[in-house]
This record gives sequence, structure tokens and C-alpha cells, in this order.
Amino acid sequence: MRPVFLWQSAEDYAYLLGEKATVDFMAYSYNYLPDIAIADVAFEAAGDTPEELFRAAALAAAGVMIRLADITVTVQKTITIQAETLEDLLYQWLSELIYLKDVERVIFVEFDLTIKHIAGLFELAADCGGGEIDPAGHELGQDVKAVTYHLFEIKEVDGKFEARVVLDI
Amino acid sequence: MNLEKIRDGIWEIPQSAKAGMRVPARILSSETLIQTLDEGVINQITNVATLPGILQHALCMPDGHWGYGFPIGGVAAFDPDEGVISPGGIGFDINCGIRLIRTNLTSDEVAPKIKELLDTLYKNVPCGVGATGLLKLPEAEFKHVLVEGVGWCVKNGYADHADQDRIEEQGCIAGANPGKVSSKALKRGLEQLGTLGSGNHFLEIQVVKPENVYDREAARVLGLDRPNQITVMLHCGSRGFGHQIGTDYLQIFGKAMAKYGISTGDRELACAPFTSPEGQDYFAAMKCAANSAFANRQVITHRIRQSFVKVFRKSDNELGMNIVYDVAHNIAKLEQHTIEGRSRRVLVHRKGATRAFGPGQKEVPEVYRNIGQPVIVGGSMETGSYLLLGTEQAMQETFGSTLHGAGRTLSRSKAKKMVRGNELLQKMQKNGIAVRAASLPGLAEEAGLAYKDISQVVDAVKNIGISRPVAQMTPIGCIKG
Repeated sequence: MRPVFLWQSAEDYAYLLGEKATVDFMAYSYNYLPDIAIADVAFEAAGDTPEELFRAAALAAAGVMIRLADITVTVQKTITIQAETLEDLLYQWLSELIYLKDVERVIFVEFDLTIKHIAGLFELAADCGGGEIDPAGHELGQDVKAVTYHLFEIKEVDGKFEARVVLDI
Repeated sequence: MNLEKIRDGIWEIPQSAKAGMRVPARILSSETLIQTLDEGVINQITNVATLPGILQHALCMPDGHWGYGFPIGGVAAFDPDEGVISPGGIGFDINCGIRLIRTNLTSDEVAPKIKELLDTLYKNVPCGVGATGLLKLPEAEFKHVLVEGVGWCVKNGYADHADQDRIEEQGCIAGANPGKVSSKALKRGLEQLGTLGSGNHFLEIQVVKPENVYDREAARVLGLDRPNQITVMLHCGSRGFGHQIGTDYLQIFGKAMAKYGISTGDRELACAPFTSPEGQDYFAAMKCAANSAFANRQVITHRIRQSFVKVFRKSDNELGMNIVYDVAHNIAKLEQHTIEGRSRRVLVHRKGATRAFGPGQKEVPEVYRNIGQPVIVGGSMETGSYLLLGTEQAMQETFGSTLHGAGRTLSRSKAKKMVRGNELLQKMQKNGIAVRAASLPGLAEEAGLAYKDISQVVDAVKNIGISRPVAQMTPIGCIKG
């Protein structure tokens, strides 16, 4: 799956991958879905492992709010989350990133994460790198209010992990 | 699914249409609008009709479109003893709403200064992703905002008593309990009082042209009393604080449903019995968010007034910037309604729908009690907005509810494919609408072409009889987050 950049067109996408880029976005797979939500934003994300999927989904959510290439990583943070299902773990992971967008005004774009399944619980530990939102220096998008459970799913297809998420705008 | 026309403007989906439906579902629309009704609305409103304790029928207003859980435009009343409360029937942006402010100014006075005015407002009313307010409250003080709403604003110089009288619930719903709110929600809210947000939220400078006043006497009562009068409209909600409460309780409800033997098939319709601990906790937290949203719109109003004083060098008195009214369009409330001939207390959910109480209701401010409750409907930023009044028929047919906006028809990404932000900005300026936007792509997503024709939607509620148009307001300046 080639990531399709939400902003406007192929030109913007080329800009994203231009010299300002600090992250190799092509390494992650996500795609915005124009026909799933009317007033909100839907995306699908994929990865060979749950870790890759969670990374892709985080970038997809961040890409709704800001032009990712504009961000210079200056802030590091470790996030740990536990949940009973992989779906709940993804819901809480994305919700945490949206929470930090408001409380610390940081959008994270680099993720070194591991997901373990221990004693019936899924555990995520992520070292995240991001930058503080700067309306003067960053091209802003839409504020994400929340992650919805509308059509929310994770599935394993041919050994790959895929998710569909609708964000409330 | 089978749509059976009940009468002009109202279509019914019978209870037999879907397994588990407890009541029929009704779509309020018009012959034209019903043609473009999306299947998602029908699916979602019939899902709502399956919820325990729902009374009479699940309703969708003419501006409805599909959302998550309830459709946008969804209205449902529940038995408070036997029924449920569902965060999906309220939305994450609890008490998202619209406020209309009148002025003594006319377009002749404002047009030459519109750019200066927008620049000043843009500075005083922070908007867009990650914006923080000019007011930073300690947690203990913020809790007072949650309990007192606009009452806190009065005590702290952001409002006067006349403001309070012209806000739904006087800007404070009793029973808000900050103890039912997570520390995360509190942290998310501390620095956001007085911010606009983004998405479809806006701050608009509008003109009421004489030809767009449909009921001169009612307009006069509402403070619209001179030709080409300037009004200010404000659309925003409870910001990150409310969004976090929605997020927190959606997960709590998701887990609680099994305990209460409820299954909905859609996780966004997660619900709990209203009388259960979870239901009561959410209701108390929701009220905190509702009060914070009323206070948010009030602090913004204060900044708007300050901006006008600065730009026009006139006193507050000379400017006459009184609130016309302030409505909540994402909320659940306990209200008294007559159902099957019996007056009873019910829990009404409105998601993208506005309360529209008719004349004589005690909830309507005394100054408006003879004409009915003002209903403020936000259009797209290119086409204008409406001021309407609630009617007795709304009390009888829709639990005193009506539309909230124009209603989207195009998705955000489709809108952006059709128009680029900078082109739209130029087009709007050419059409006499000055714009300040935190996000150009965001601006394109809100283009007029993404919405239904608001005059058709307003005509629909007028013809059905659940609201009565008073005036249309045309934008001349717009701030988008």
C-alpha cells in the first residue's frame, strides 16, 4: 500500500518527501479513505507486524493534523500502554497521541515500539520523537478530537496486519 | 430499506425493517433532499431504534448525514428509568453549539475595517491544532468552571447577568461533578478555555440584509432591529476536555455493556442504563463538559467584545453586543415532554440537532417566551446562516428538536479534490467574504460545495412546521481554525 498524503495532491506529496523530510514516511503504509466518513477522516494502515501497523497508524493520525515533513524532532517521550485486546491497544495508543497533542502540544513522528502479549494482556512500549506545534512554521491541518470505534477493526490477512480507523474531526 | 411517507416531509422506517428495532425510525426531509439521503443514515438511525428504553421513534433531521453511532442530525428520547444513555448519541464534542451576538453596527461601518477586525479577532481568539487560550487556569479553578459554567464567567468578569439569561440552560447545567472526570480530561482542558478549535468550527462576521428578514416583529424582539445590521456568530464546543470525556467513557461503556446484557452491534453505540453507576457518572461528566463549552463560548464572546471596542473605538454600550442566544447541538438532557398524551420526564439525546422549544415553555427566556426559543443554524462559510424559532409542532413531533446546520454531502478529501485552499480563499474574498484560516487545506474541506443547500434544509423544517425562519445572515468575514 502506497501512502497517499491527505493534503491535496501528488504535488503536495512530492513536497512531503522533499528535503524538509526528517522521517522516511515511505517505510510506513497508510492510506486515507475518501468514502468512509463524511465529516470525519478515515484511514487504513498496514504492517508486517503489529509494531509496523501501530507506527503507520500513528503517522496517519499525525498527518491529519500537520504536514509531517515540517516537524523537526526535538522532544522524546516514552509511552507504555496495556490493553486486553490488540484493537483496544490501538485505540488507546492513538488516543494517547491525540491527548499529548493537546496537553504537551507535541506531534510525534518517530516511533521505536514493541508490543508483547503476556498473560492475556497486550503491552506496548514506545520511545517516541516529535516536535512542538508551531503555527508560524508548520502547515497545520485539522485538529483530531478523538478516535472513534466506528468501523474500527484490526485484521490479519496473509500474515500482514491491517487496521481501519475513523478519526473524529 | 422501506421508507413510508407519513405526511409531507416525514418518512418512516417501520419497526419490522431491522431485527431488534423497538420503535420505528423517522426521517424528516423534503421531496428533493430525500433523494440524496445516504444509506448510512438509514442504517444508523435504525440502529438507534434498537436501543433499550427508546420512546416513540428515532428521528433524523433534514440536515442529517451519517456519522458514528447516531447519525448527525439524530434525536432520540429514552425512558430515564428503563432506558440507556449513549455517548455515541452526543458525540465527542459535548455541547458543541452556536452563539449569535447582535451589534448596533451596520455593514457600512464594518466593511471598511473588516481586515483589521479579523486580524484583531484572530489574535484574541486562538484557533487551529494545538492552540491554547489566553487564559491558563489552575486545576482547582477549572473545576469551578465545570460546575458553574457561565456563572463562573460572571464572577470573573467575562459575562454579565443579561448574558446568562440568553443562553440555553442559562449557561450552566446543574449536577456537573468534576469527580467523575479523569485527570487526563482535566489536563486537556486547562489551557483551552477561549479557543475555537478547527474542523467546522468558525467565528463569523455577518450582515442581516433587509430582504433576508422574514419576520420583522420577531427579529425586533431578538435584537435584529436595523437594516444591514452586523451580527457575530460563533461555532465551537468543549474542546479537548469534552473529547477526552467521550474517549474515556466510550471505553468504560464498552466494558459495562456485557454486565447489563446489552449488545448494540456498533461499538460507537455503546450505552449503559441511565440509572446505572456508569450511566450516572457519564451524565455528571457530560454536564461538566457542557458547562465548559458554555464558558468557552462566553470567554470567546468577551474577547470578541474587546476586539470590537479596540477596532471601532466605541464603548460596550455604543456597540450593544448582546447575545441573541446560544444553543447546544451535541447533548443529552432530561426534559418534560408529552408522549402518548401523558406528560413525562424523558432523556433526550441530540447529536447535531438543536432544541427548538415552542412559545410558552418555561425553559425559553422570558423575553422570548411569546415567540419561542431562538434556534441558530450555522451554514457553510460561503452561504450564510439562519435564525429560526422553535414551535409547538416541534414539541409534539420531535421532542422539541430541529436541525443544526446545512449538513455535509461531500467527504473532506473529496472537497479538497474539488477546490484548493488558496483558490477558495481568493474566491471568497472576491465574493466579499474576508477570511483568516489557521489551515488552508482545512479551509478547502469546509468549502460551500461540501454542504447541502442551507435554504433547502431550512425550507424543509419550515414546511414540516418544527421551526419558523426569522432571518438569514450573510457572511462578510470568517475565521476558520
